[in-house]
Amino acid sequence: MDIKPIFLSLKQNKFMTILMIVQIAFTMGVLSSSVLVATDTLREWGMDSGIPHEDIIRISPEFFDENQDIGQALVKDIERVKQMANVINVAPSNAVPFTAENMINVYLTAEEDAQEYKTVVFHSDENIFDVLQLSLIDGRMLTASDVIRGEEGTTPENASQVMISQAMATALFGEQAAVGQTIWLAKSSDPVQVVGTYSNFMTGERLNGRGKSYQSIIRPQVKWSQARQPNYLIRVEQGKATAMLEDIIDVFYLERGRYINSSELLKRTQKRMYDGRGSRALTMLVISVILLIITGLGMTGLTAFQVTQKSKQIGTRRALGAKKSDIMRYFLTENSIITIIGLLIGVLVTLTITFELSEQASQNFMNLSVLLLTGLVMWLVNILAVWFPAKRAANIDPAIVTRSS
Amino acid sequence: MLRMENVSKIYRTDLVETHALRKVDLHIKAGEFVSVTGPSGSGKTTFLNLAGALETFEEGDYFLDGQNVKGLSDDKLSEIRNQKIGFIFQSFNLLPDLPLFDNVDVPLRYRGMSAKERKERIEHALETVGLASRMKHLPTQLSGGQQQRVAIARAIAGEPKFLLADEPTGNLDSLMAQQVMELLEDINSKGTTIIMVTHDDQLARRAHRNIQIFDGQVSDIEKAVANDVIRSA
Ligand SMILES: Nc1ncnc2c1ncn2[C@@H]1O[C@H](COP(=O)(O)OP(=O)(O)OP(=O)(O)O)[C@@H](O)[C@H]1O
Ligand SMILES: [Mg+2]
Repeated sequence: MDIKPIFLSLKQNKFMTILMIVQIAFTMGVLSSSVLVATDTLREWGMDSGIPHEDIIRISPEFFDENQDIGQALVKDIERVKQMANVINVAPSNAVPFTAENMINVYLTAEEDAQEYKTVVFHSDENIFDVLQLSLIDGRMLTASDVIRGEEGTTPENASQVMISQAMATALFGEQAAVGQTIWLAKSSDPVQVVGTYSNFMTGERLNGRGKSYQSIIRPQVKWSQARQPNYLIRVEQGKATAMLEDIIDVFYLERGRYINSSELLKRTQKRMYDGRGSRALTMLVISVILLIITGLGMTGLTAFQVTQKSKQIGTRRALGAKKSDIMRYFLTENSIITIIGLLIGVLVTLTITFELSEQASQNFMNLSVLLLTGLVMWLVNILAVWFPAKRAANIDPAIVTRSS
Repeated sequence: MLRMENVSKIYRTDLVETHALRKVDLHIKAGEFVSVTGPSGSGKTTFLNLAGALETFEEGDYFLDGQNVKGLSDDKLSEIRNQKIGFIFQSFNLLPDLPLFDNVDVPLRYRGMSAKERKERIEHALETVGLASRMKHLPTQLSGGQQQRVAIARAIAGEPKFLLADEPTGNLDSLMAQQVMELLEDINSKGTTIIMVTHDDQLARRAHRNIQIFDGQVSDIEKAVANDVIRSA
């Protein structure tokens, strides 16, 4: 195709050309950024939870009566639940998989400027490994004798040995063995020793968003206060969870002075996590698609306007020997030039946006094939948008040149 | 040569039928310079549009350079316009976004010539009309007479057999009109057949032959004059 006359014409219509390029670049930037983030989110839907979440129930009771003894209730709760038919094991825990939001930083040295590693620390007892079906990877399991129990305040000591997940071990120590290493659970303080590593399980959304879904630490201590009361994770026989939920809630209501703040199958907890992220991704996609449609319609409008404005010129070309297909090709090529320039700038915009997003979330959203695909879709949408006005241009009667002045 | 046999053109709108051309029989030989005159609305432009394959017709036959144009496809008509005909319009119809060079280039590109040949022809055509030095200028930077000369360059660059002009001097003052007319005569003297619609009787008389159109009907002055001569003899 003859590109030179098209460029010359675009040069004479700089304002319109730049307007269209900016519009395409902007759309490409927003569209591909949200598609990149959305695909990243959707990919997480297929991620393994690492636990038999369909058979685990979480119960979060809360005492409103401040005179009740939480420690005693804890013992009784566990006794009662264990006596129930089909219950396999129960563990108190300060955090619940999929919703563990108490993200903290841990360190490998005591120095002020030590590197930060994000993780979630689960405070629980030895039963959590059985409840979550975590398997030992390296070192030793935590046992009942490792567990420190007591009311916060009156029991000042903390467990000095922990287990960490395999992903956590890799993040902290890479190829090196994690067992025997020391981790500082707070800046320059609270050093603990790693005694073993366990198989990965999903902690929650805030680490998911950073691509660190499986980084966790289990610290063998069960501490409580009025402000912080433990949750219970209960694993039951396969397939029995839904049927048992009501009965388990009833058992917890045997204790006076409290209510059940939250009770559900972890299956639902997981779904809720994805629902939130999924609908956010979906909203972004919908907004992007609307933007894409607006851009497409804008292209159609601008081209239609130009066709009307240039009908005499188009007629002249027809009179001088242009076939209908030549006129079609002229507009499609012109549009493709604008689109390609717009897309190239749009890619730069996208790179900037995703770089910024990736920095913020310390997670890499960039995906070249998604980017290329988005560009291709935008190009096709633009072709479609210009097709109809171009068709109208091609049908302009060449006799127009002698008819109107 | 160009021959119309019994050609009629009717414009139909919802309300009226206009018989713009009625049973035109006409023969124009190669190398002729023919002027077409007649009152406004008589059908001059319609005649030129049919002759230039810009419009189609339903009745009669039209042979252009030996080929029957009737019923040809739109693509084929484009080809004929591109290869056999050069157009000159009253309002010049240069493409305002393109420099002179690229304006003259338009029909040549549709002919698919090599870049080298196009360049030679464009330069030659612009030299012929005396505007070679302004190749890079935009049409708006020229006077009306100069613009019309560029249009003539565009029309002759492809060396068509026929040049069709619809009131080429209509928008020009008499001096510029003279220049354009001289240019056309010059081009005709090198063998190109020219058909020119004009309102200017003086210019019309400079043609070899004058065709008059009244209410869609063609009367051939050369023939009429000949008949008068015979009658008076
Ligand atoms: N597209 C059209 N639709 C309907 N009628 C038309 C159309 N084009 C021309 N006519 C009519 O056909 C007749 C001949 O028009 P034409 O343009 O050929 O006249 P003309 O001799 O060129 O006039 P002028 O000297 O004013 O340019 C006129 O009555 C005109 O109104
Ligand atoms: Mg006319």
